[in-house]
Amino acid sequence: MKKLLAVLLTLTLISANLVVAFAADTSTVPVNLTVEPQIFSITVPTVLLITQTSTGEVQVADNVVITNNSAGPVKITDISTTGVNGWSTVDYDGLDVKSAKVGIKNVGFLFKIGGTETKTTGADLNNFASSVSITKGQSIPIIYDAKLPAQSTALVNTQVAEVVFTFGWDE
Amino acid sequence: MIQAKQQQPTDKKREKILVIILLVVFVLSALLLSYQLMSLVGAKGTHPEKVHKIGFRADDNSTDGTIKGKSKKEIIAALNKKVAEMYNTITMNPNPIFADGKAKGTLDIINIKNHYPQVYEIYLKDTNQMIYTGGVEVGHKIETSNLLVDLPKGDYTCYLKVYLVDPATGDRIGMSPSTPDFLKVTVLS
Repeated sequence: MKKLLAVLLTLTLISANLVVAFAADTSTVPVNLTVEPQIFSITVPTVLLITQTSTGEVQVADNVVITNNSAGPVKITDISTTGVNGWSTVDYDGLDVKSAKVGIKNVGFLFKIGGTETKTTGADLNNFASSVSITKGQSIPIIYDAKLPAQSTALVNTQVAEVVFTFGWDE
Repeated sequence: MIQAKQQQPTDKKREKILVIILLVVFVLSALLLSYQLMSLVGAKGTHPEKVHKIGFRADDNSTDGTIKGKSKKEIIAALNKKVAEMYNTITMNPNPIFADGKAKGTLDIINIKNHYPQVYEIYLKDTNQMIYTGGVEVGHKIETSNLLVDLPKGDYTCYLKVYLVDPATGDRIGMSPSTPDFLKVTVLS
């Protein structure tokens, strides 16, 4: 009888140790994450400048960039082009400035942003159909061109259109 | 009768003199007319009011050479300089949270890297109603602030307009051509 009790006691102790050992193998440690509000920060031009010279040639700035200072990558999800102050955006490819009547307030735009080319295709229309990604800390150039007929009246810093770039997280 | 005969040679002499004078006047008139006609031909294409002027007088301000504007390089350099002054860095929390419609929310607007003060405006995308506007000086921040309207609990998709402001006049001198479409305002209760 004593031998039986000794065996049972031994088995009980062994099984208890096994349970503890098993529990130690499966214990979990939670990983908790706190995410502070992710800062959105981009640097963009507030104006795109165009000069039409006395001989009708168009010159534009060539140092325009968009810089992403945000916590992560962002993307340009849309570009809208709208004529203002009596000006209309027109088909960039279809506008022949050599034969267009003098003084007509039509302007066509071409943008090259991060390998994506966008042109105006009509009044307040363009063919931007994708998105342009800008990685964290990256600056991408905005190369642009404009076409417009010769003007009979000299203008100084007159707004002819507005361009809106819409941004979103690159998810 | 004798007197009449004596006067005949004198009259003929006078007639000759008169004819000579008339011939001289005619020749001079013809020369003058020719000169005027030549001037008219030379003035073809000018304004009518200037046609009657005869002769030429150079403008005292005229100089040698032709008129030249800025070179392509000079024009682009001037454009680049202006663009460089007009960059706008927009920095804010794209998901500001408000405990309720009257509480201050976590806007985290920062005006750094800019040459001008900024005005931020937040609009509801559905109704275009402006729900926040606030100015921030260069080097300053707006960590929290209140909405213009007491919005009920919910998540609101918004868009943003950011203006640069001339500190001397208060005039808006440029708007950022950007609208983050992920701007979401959350009101918790």
